[in-house]
Amino acid sequence: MGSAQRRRRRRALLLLLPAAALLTFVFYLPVGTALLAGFRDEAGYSPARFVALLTDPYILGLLRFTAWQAFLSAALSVAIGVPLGYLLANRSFPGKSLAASLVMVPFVMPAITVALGFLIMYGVNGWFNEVLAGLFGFKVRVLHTLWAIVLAHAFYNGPLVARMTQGAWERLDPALEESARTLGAGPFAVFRDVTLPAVMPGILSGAVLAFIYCFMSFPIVLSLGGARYSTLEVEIFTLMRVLLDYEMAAALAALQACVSLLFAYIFLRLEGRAPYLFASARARRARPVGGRIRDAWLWALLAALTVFFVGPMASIVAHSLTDPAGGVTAGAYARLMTAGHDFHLGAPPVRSIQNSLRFAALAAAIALVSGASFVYATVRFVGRRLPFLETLSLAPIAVSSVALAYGLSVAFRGPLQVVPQDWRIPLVHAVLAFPFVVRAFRPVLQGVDARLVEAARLLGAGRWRAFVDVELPMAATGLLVAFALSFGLSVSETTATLMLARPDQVTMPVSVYRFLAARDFRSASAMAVLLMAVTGGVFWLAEMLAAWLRRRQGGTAHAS
Amino acid sequence: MPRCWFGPRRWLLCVTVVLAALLGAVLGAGLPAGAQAQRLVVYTYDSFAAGPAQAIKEGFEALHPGVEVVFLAPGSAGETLARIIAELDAGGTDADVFVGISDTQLPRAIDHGVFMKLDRSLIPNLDKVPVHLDFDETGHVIPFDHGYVTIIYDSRVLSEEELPQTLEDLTDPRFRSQLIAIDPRTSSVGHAFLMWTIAEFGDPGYLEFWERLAPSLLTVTGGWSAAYSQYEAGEAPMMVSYSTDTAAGVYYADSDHSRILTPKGQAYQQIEAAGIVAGTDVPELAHRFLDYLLSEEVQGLIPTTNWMFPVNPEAPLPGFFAKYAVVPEEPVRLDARLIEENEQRWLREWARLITGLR
Amino acid sequence: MHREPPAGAAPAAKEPGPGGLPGLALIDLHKRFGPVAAVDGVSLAVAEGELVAVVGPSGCGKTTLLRLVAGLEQPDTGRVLIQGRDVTDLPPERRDVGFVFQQFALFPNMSVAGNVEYGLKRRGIPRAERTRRVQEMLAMVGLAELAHRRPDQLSAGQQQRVALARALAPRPRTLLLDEPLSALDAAIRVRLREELRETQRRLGITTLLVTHDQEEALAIADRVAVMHAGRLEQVGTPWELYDRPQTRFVAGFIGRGNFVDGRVAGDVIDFGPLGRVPKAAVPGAGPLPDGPVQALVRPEAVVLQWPGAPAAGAAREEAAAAQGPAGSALVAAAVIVDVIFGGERSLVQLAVHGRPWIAAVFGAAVHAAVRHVGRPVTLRVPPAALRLLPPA
Repeated sequence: MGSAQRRRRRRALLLLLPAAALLTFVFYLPVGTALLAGFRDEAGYSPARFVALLTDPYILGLLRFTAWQAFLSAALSVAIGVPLGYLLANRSFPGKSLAASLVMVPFVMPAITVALGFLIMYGVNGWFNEVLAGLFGFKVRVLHTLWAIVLAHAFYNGPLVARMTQGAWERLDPALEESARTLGAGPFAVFRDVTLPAVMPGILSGAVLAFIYCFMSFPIVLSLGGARYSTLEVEIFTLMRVLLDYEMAAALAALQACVSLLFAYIFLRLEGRAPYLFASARARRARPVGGRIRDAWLWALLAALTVFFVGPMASIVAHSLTDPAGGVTAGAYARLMTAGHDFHLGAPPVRSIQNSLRFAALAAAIALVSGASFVYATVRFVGRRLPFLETLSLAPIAVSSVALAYGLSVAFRGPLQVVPQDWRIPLVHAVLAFPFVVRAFRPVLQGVDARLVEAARLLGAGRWRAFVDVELPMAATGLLVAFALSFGLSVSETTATLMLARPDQVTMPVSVYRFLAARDFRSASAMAVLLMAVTGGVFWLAEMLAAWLRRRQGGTAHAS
Repeated sequence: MPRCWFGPRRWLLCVTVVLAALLGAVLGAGLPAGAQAQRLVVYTYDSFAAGPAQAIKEGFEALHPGVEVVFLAPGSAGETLARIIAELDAGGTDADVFVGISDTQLPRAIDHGVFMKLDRSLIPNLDKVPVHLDFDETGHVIPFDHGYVTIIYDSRVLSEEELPQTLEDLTDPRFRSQLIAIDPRTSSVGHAFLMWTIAEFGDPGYLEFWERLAPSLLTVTGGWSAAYSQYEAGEAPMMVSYSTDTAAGVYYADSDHSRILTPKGQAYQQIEAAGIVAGTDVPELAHRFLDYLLSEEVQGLIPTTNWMFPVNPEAPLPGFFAKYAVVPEEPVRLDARLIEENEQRWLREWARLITGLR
Repeated sequence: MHREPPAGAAPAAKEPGPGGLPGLALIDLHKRFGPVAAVDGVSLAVAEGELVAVVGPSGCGKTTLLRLVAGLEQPDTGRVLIQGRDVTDLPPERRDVGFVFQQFALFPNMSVAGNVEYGLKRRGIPRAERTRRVQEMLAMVGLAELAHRRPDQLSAGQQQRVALARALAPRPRTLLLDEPLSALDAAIRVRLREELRETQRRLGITTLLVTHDQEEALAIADRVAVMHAGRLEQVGTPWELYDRPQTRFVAGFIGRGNFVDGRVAGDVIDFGPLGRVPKAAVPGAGPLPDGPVQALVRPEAVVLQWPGAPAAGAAREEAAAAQGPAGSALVAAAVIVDVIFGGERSLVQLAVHGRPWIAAVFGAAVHAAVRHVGRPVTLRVPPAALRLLPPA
């Protein structure tokens, strides 16, 4: 191997180092040791417990239910996400830019906030039922049923499916649809023969990802369904944290990981299937939603989507601004801002906001650096897709966060105790955000034509210079999205934070829990509103910055 | 690249500078205060942290200058216990004192060696506690409050005539989806209620009872707060809770709509205890803290901050509390040894039953 | 100098088709995108079976025009008639047009046969007939053995042929081509444009082709329309456009040429240092009033005279005529700057009074030009070769 080759390889390895370090020490080792406990026996290691689980009808029943609710949830997410993706890709309507920048906010909201919003909105005395009763004279019991869980999951994952659908739709060459029309295909035939085959891989991969999330979901199932709707993750949590049967919990977590990693692999295969076949450089022109009768269903769709997504969030806002007697007051916010409201034990509520922002900034930075360098190494240095490597990078979303938190709590007292306190929570958040940074950044980097980099290098720029001058500005929008996502995920992460944080490390979601425990529901809502505002604000800022960047560059980011 | 002053390099520089400044400002704000002389770390459950903790901290620190009391509330009582056990298993815990373990959960804690044996001579206030409340024969924990777990109902929805008179009454079809129960695996209230049904219906009779009860259950929440917020939102008119809820309603919202049920004059008595975590490095200070918990000062706080009954009979009860808080004629308690032997099995059986009854 | 007559007057078609109706008629089409008028009052008639090429620089609106005909855009005002039928309000799938896209737009999820079959399926043609027609079309474009390949397995030239076969399979009344050859290599381009022309002639289908390559337009079209900033500057046969451009833009866009400025004064036109010529000797100069004027000189009309040698670059007769009445040709001293070899015809770049000129030499005459590079020659332009242009 020549020296140039060696240098390339060294560079690639160097770039992979941050990601490898992060994932190995903060994810794989802790999770591995935690799961290994499930195979521990008096005489060493054996799969006996694992096998026993597979034959236990109770566990199988749990598995069945978990898969079933995940399937229903993914289906509803698709039913909601695809129309939303269509609207975002093809139509312009009032408020579109706001919708486009905030569409991912539900995805990063913490479970307690969503549960709170759903309770207020869909409860027996919630305004959804009030409206139904007023218009049609009956009420619907939504909460504490399977449908509440499925609806809430769709609330979370609909935007995810929408984004992926939107991406696939935007890449579809309009000339293909137009040529079908000139060949005599009416709108329905065009959709069936051209659009659907092109968009389907995007929809399917969104559906599989949604399935994985719903499969692993835990706080939503508990809050909106209750103990009767137990899933695998709930059982793992109970075994690990309540019954303290670590071995059984670990074995179950291993079983769960097998199933979800399988689906993760399926997702990756789907994603890789060339949607490029249908792609074009020509941008789609967004048709406005007009006033014709034909467009009436689109307006209805917009209205329904608005109610579905904005409803729960607006309910929380409304709840935070009222007092029990029904009057409007900002008292809850005032309580939040007073330094004297000290029941957070050394950390006034303002401190929890500070903590959240601090952790999120650090976590996003770590995730961005390791994720971006990982993507750069795999895109520029390794030509082909490596599904195995991909699955490794996707694993954090497919493994029980309870098991991860347990493994980490052990690790932080053992081999990882050198990690300073202030870095622990951000590192965990960074690991959880890592797959998203990879997903957001990779397609953008791939879209930057490698020939542009070659041109820069031929003009005398070194690799780093070429990156900064050519690739970075063009891929910057991807980095912005990745940053916003990581930030949002960190701000709203609850499970691991609850299990690992020290008293002074209270974050906003944890504060919401504490307020609820103190019966101060208004303050809980107020803090939830602040949480949404921070997350939404970051997304909006990122979108503004990205749009500004796109305008500055003009045209497309890739050579035709 | 178009030629302009604000070229890509400058832009990158600007963004980096701004981000670094932000990061610095925010990080700088996070620097903790200087270390104190002596720290006492107290683990407790979330509503205790939200309730009396602050006052207890201030009071104790005033009495013992140079000492810092730090409360940590990882969750409900069950979650806190699990956290301590997990930390002990992992090598060591910061906790010096655990406040809020319920008597029904004590066997599990002792099994895992959570507590160290107490030197009762260092806790003089213990002598004031009535014998029947000082339940721990193994000498690991002291009681600090007690309460009665029962069913509460919303009097605005259910009238007197409609009320269930016994636990069995709850299974009547007229109460379909009207009761919010709480998971005994994660909540001490729920746990207490489960024990009550075992005491009432026996083992395995209790499973058949729960099977009959299932249609009446609206939901089984993970903790008391979740149950209460749904109860308050009007999802169901009955929930498993404490007999002090009427008093709490009067105190916070000036309303006595939450009333207490005492089927057959009964309720399940739950005693909450505190103990010193094994391996602590400040045992003497911890003993003094436990003693402080039993002082009139702190015990007088308990009713309106933790909504339980104090164990120190010398502590004053606020007037409205005496008026609204209900003491059942026949408190029910299950034998501690029975719990110790069967708890794991009961919880598993209950879980299996309940997840099959959707 | 006239533009296309407005609607209502008889369309200036070559010859009316059977039945007398033009195959395609565009009547006063307007289309704006925001502040930009992409199509600004275009009227055009294409005779049945005729191939008209619309040519112009990028951004002149020709693609928009084509899309208006296809129904992929709706005009602000104006009408589109196909064989006399007003299709302006019809969606594309009901207009019965065939469209070939610049990037072919073949359906990647269908085979070649599937692509070609698609339009037939949509029209409800039964399977047996479909299969027959697909085979027929593929044989016509010479791709019969590739029927089961996928588009991404074909070369660009093959894809273009499939796109053509697909558009023609349903036997549309009109064929629309949007820069069909611009995505191809130079070598295939020339060959394919011959094939295109031949196919179109054989099928006798009314065709509108849009391209930015004027050479391509001139090579295969029956008539050419030059489009500029949303308007048609001139419509006519290739020779008409080449020899008698009606505007400065058309003169500069079609072919190459040299522009000279002059002044009409009485019965002569004074071209400054190049000399003067009688007004009568210049075609079309008769009715011109006194004043400034501009003329176009095609390269092949420029006569080069080597020092001390008989005239090169033109037949002897022309040289004699150029001499004509004394002083009646434009004469200038020029220096040969460069020679661009071109096989049958080479171009000679000259500097005349500091301004660039271009002349054509044919065949072996290029040797003389090459020998004289950097050296002075005499340049003559016979007055009959001057083409007067309207003032800018």
